[in-house]
Amino acid sequence: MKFSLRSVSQRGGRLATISELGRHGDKTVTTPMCLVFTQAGTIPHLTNDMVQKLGKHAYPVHLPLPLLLESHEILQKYSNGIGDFLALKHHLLYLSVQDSTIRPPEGFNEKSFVSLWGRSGRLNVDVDKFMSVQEAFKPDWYQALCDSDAGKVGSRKRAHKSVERTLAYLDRCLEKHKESEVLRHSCIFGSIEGGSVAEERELSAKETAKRPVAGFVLEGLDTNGPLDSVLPLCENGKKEIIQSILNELPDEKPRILHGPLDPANILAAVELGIDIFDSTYAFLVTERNAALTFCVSPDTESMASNVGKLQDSCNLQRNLYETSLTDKIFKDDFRPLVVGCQCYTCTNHTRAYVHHLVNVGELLGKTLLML
Amino acid sequence: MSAPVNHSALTLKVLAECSVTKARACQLSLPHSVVDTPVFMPVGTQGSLKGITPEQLENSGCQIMLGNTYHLGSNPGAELFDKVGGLHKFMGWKRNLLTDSGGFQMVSLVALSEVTEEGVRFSNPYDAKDMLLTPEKSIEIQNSIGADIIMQLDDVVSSTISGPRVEEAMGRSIRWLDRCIEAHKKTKTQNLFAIIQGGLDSRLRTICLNEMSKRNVPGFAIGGLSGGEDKNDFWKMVTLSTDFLPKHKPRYLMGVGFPVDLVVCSALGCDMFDCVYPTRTARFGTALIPTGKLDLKKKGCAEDFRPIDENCSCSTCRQFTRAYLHTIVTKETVASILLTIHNIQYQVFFCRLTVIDTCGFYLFLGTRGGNINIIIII
Repeated sequence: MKFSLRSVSQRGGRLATISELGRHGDKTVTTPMCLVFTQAGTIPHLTNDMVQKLGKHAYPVHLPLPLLLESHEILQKYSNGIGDFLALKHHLLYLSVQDSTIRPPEGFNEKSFVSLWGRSGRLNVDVDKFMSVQEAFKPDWYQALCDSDAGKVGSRKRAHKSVERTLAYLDRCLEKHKESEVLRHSCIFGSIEGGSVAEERELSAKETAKRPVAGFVLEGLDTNGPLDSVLPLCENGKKEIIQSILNELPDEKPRILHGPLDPANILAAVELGIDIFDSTYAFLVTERNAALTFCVSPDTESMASNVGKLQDSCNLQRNLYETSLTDKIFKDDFRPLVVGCQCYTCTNHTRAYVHHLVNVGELLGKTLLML
Repeated sequence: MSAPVNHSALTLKVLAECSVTKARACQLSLPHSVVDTPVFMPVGTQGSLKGITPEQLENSGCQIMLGNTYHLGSNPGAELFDKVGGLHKFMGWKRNLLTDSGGFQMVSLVALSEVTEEGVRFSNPYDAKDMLLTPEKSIEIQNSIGADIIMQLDDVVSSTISGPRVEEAMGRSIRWLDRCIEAHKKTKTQNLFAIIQGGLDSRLRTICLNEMSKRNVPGFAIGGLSGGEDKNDFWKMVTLSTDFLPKHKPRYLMGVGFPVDLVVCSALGCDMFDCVYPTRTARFGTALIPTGKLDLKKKGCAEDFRPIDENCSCSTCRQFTRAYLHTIVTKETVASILLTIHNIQYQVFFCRLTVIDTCGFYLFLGTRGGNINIIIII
């Protein structure tokens, strides 16, 4: 994988192109980029033909491991890899360790294994099992096994453990990765841990940067979980932590930040130097029957002032970005969800129809909103 | 072959007739598109087919689908349909629609409903108001919804009931048919079908057939069956009806059904069918296949890397294995959508192929339907 910077802003934000994507031939992607979130291998509420309507935006797919873990043995028998199994083999497939819409319970990771929560409960995953999964799944990119449980805020001891363990897992994953014929074309990402302790964060970043990873995932920043629990980046010194991490990381490798981040947070993260996000925010908004209706102007001047406004007011109400389709006001509103939007839903359907569908609990409502 | 008969909003052209059974292949021309019969019509109760977009439905071969007047009349309501110009526009479906009268749902879903000569009185569960559904009101709502085929309000009784109530309902259905015909405002764009009642009593059915076929309606439905009655009684009433009904008008057998029933009732001369079975069973994880049913929840599917049906060309079978579907069935909404797509396409094509096969229907029973062993004594 090759990450080529095209431009870098004063504050650290970057535009880049990623090429040499292994089995995908000449295809390239540009960053900042959004991965399409999946649950148990499906994009929620969307069959593949509907996913294709997203065009090139549907290309990079995010597969969180927990709900897929139970398919490990089946995939071993299947032998064609998870892309083929899910009929997504033409997509760029990235396998993350945790599901970013969930905040896993604390205190269940041990030295030799990490806990993942599947449908039937907790599963303990050590490096051997983890790499066996990667070999069966054959993703394009994957996040190395990591311990993102940094304990209570400010707890130095636990934060240090998360850093130590994650580096140990990474080294063993890299060993196995190197020996693996099957993972020859796959890229491994290292995770930066350390909770809220600045020194641990720096240590994690410095050490991970020394390893031959394709890119970095910034973990444990409290950006995971349902929407209500994700705090803005400008609170609790998170921005500073991210800055300190990025200072230690090389410029020519991409950085991933997971979690349901709203537009203000995304813009703040991009400005700092994050390149890749996931679409869990869009998913969680859909789950509460709302449509994303915020407007970001393509005009650079007003864009800059928009960014300024968004960043300054981190206490933004949710309803500035989204509109609930359950509101009766839409009963006879025959305009598209967002006037001028070219998506399938907006070009084929009306607010009135989507309102009706969510009102009577029809699944198609969620499908149209998700798209 | 009979010459096509022209009714202002419907044309039926009989393309082929089986020399052994009463099965026939027809082309039914309706305002929005042509329909090949025998046809299976999936049910999209509330203006959508459980997660399927109109485009996906078109791709699965569906030419006509159902909406339920009772549900749609409550949400979003007739007034909205008047504003938007009908259900076709509202949901973005370019092909045909059929709406029922609302009567059946009311009687089956609403705990306290009372039938009088005037109409059906009930307490609306959505807003607890007292409502009266008359033949006139039913037609009015159906006119607003704008379906290509609309149904008369009939007095429905369960097929397991006997006694004077059956005769009362049959007589009332005839009178209500006349009121519906009178109330129907859009004869050029919407076809009003009569519904033959009479329970399991051949005498009553015959009276009803006699009377209703005197009315100039574009098509007939056979109602009051498929409600848990004995199959032997069921077939008899179906064949009695098709014997009597005019050949040049379509016959719609309401609420049928399972693949076996589709084959048999096509043989008995029915052209149109509807049932919630394929869509409902999809949501419970069951796919329809030539040998019957496939429960994707069963452990046996976990390592089965074949598609649901190797001969099926639906988008689900072209992309996915049983093993994959097993991992998501009843857990992810996409599973329900994928199985619904398969089941609809399967049932629609199954129905069509029962007769369009050039060898004829009787040979169909020997080849594709070969695992079905039915002896019908009529």
